[in-house]
Amino acid sequence: MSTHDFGFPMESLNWKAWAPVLDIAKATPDEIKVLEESHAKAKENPYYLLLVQEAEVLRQRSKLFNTIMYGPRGASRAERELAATAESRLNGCPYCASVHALRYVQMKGDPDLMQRMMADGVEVPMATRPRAIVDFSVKLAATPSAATAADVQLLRDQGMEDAEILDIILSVAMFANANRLMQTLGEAVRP
Amino acid sequence: MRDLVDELAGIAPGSRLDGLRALRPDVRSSLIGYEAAIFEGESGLTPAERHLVAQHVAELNAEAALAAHHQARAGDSPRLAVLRDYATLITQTPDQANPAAIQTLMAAGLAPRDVVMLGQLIAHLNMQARLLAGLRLLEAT
Repeated sequence: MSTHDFGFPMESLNWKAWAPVLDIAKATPDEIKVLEESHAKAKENPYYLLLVQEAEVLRQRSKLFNTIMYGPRGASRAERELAATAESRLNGCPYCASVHALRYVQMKGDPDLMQRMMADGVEVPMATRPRAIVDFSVKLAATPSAATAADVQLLRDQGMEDAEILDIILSVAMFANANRLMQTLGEAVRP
Repeated sequence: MRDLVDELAGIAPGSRLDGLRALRPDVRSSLIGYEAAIFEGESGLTPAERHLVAQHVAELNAEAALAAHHQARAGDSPRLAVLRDYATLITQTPDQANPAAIQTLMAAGLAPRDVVMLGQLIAHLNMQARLLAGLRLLEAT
């Protein structure tokens, strides 16, 4: 069995934990606060109810995640989502890939690329700029990283400043983290 | 404010990379907070065990300085093999993770919150490894 066997649907999925989660009725005020800081629907989401059992760790991680994915300036939010989705597709995290593919489409308004990447993988044909971002992201996502100076040069050739490239690096780093929580502590389920 | 990544990557104050990282001060401050919560928080995993796992994940990612940082703080554990095997599975083949792997951890005495801590620790080290690798590429070119 591999998490790839589930497929990569372009729709909102649910998630089921493989370890016991917090009973929200027994949550402390601090746990409630961390859940509220983490995600709008965290109190109903088994992923957050699992992670909040280490409340301070979740608090710090949520701050990190939100600043990397939603912070102002730098790489566009759509391109951060593109990097995150490509890595999630490669690593085989259907839940992560679906959430971030849908966010990319919301911001970019172009469902075609994401539909093809979800269905057939990160090698599907695409324009030069997304190609450079996806190639860099999946190479940096490898264990150990396989990204090279030539991959960075391809990003610069697209007019990307180093501050924007650092944002793509941060997005890939964050999803090396996110994939390894979401696809290893539970699994995606169809609603 | 400098984080462990600055230290391990040799990013000097006032350098070009320091300036780039300074554009995202919240990344530095929350990385410092995340690192502290994982390695200094109370847990059923001893600090020595947490650093052992961290060293192993850094080695799997070929990040020598990161591995050395944790090796200096690691200690022995009677459940070393169980923890290392889990860290290898999650780092190298996250798509092969399965409920039985978590049951193995719980059979070795990990409570649910210890499973969460271990998962966060492995995820954090994998994140730092990509950040270090990416910064090296920006530095070199």
